Amino acid sequence: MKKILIVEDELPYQKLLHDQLDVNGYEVIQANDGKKGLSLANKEHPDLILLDVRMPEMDGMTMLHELRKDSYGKSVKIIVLTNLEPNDELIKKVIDNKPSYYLVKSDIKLTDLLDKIKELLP
Amino acid sequence: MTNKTHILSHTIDTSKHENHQGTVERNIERKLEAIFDNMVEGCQIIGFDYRYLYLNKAIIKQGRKTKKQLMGNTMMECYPGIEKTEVFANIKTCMEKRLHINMESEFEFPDGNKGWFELRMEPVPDGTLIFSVDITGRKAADKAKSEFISVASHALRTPLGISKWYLEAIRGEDYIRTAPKIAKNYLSEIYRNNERLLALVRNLLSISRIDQNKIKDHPELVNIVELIKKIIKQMSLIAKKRDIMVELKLKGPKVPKIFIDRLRLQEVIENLLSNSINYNVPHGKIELILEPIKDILYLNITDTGIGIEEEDRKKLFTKFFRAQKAIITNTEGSGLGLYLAKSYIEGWGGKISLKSTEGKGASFMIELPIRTKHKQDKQLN
Repeated sequence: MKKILIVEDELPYQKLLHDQLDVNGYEVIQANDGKKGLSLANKEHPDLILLDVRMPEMDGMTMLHELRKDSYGKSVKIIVLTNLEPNDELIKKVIDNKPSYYLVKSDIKLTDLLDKIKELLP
Repeated sequence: MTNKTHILSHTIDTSKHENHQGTVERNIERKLEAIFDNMVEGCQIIGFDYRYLYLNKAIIKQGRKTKKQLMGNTMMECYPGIEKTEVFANIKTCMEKRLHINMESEFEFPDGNKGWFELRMEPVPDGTLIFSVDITGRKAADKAKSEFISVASHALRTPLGISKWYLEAIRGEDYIRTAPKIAKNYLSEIYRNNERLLALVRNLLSISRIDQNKIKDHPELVNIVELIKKIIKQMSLIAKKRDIMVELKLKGPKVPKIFIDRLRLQEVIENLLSNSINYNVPHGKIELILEPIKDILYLNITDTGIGIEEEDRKKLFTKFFRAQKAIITNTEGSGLGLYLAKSYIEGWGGKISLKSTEGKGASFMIELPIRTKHKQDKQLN
């Protein structure tokens, strides 16, 4: 069973993503901020990380930057999910760390996200 | 009469005329200098060797050096490194190619401070004439405005995006027929986010009115004791859910009715009380103390919640600011409530301050001037 880590501080998003991924047969683990997300990622080595950008404690950009420092982190698939504008400074730095996808939550459909996940975890 | 040729000599003494012309020119020069010196716009003439030849008062202020330090010296001597800037490149172009140049530029002073300037460069016989306006304030306001739009759009997108995905899930999976319990749960989430969105829009409109000085107060005589009791009653359900005790204490003489905008005062107290509930610990306490002293009514709201870190306290009353701990405890706040509360209270001539120890709760002190209708009428007249 493929393992997905959700790193998201907005509980309604976290809850819905958990439900939908669970229904689709994935094992789901979750964290409310980048700091917990980073430690969970290094401990559990999920196959894919759904990563929010604006979060307390540690933002998604910093988590991604830290994660990319070792061999697991360099190869893990990451979908950055945000509601920030693409020209936001944080987003520019996020893109520098090469996520698999960068998606604006309010602009995409939930089904599109699930399709992208299936594509990355065949 | 003999036909002799006479040389007629006529001498006119022009020294007086020349003196007069010189006086006129000197007068014009003095007047021009006075005009230039008192212009709001900075004005300077740079010679072909990049030495300062003329500087008015405004440019001295903008340049953050004395006239003595600048006059007769080169730009490079006065501002080391200036030759590498875009401003210098444009002065050089204006000087050498005799071109008019307009530009906006950020300039870093030797002390590390920065300022934005709007510059107009004109070629003149002595070198280059530069008019400059300090637009640092305008640039800061533009930046704040675009940051506000960016933060506001993020804040609006979040509840909208949440509702969009929940609706899609309910519709796509036909949960209403196949899993009505999940559907009901998801609909509650959508409803909550819709409420959150409406509250955010209301707050954004209030902020826009404050920024444009368009807040219209509708003062009336308000019994603040009754108003607080009503608010406590309204919020008792949420407080009970979290097992938080809310208590109102009256101190000192009888609290008089005050002349104030009832709805806005209610908004302020609701905001503070809901913060005290949302950021409290389970089984916590909230105490509201009302005390009139002379012509000031003091309202103190103290809770036993998570408290506010020292660094966050300075920014707490600014637009969209949310303390890290607040985000973890309650993800749905907009960061606008305290900004609005402060704006309203200060608009009424009052004050709001905060005392907090991290982890040991927060205490907000509101001071409201006690006004009667009579006094307000007098003020309006």
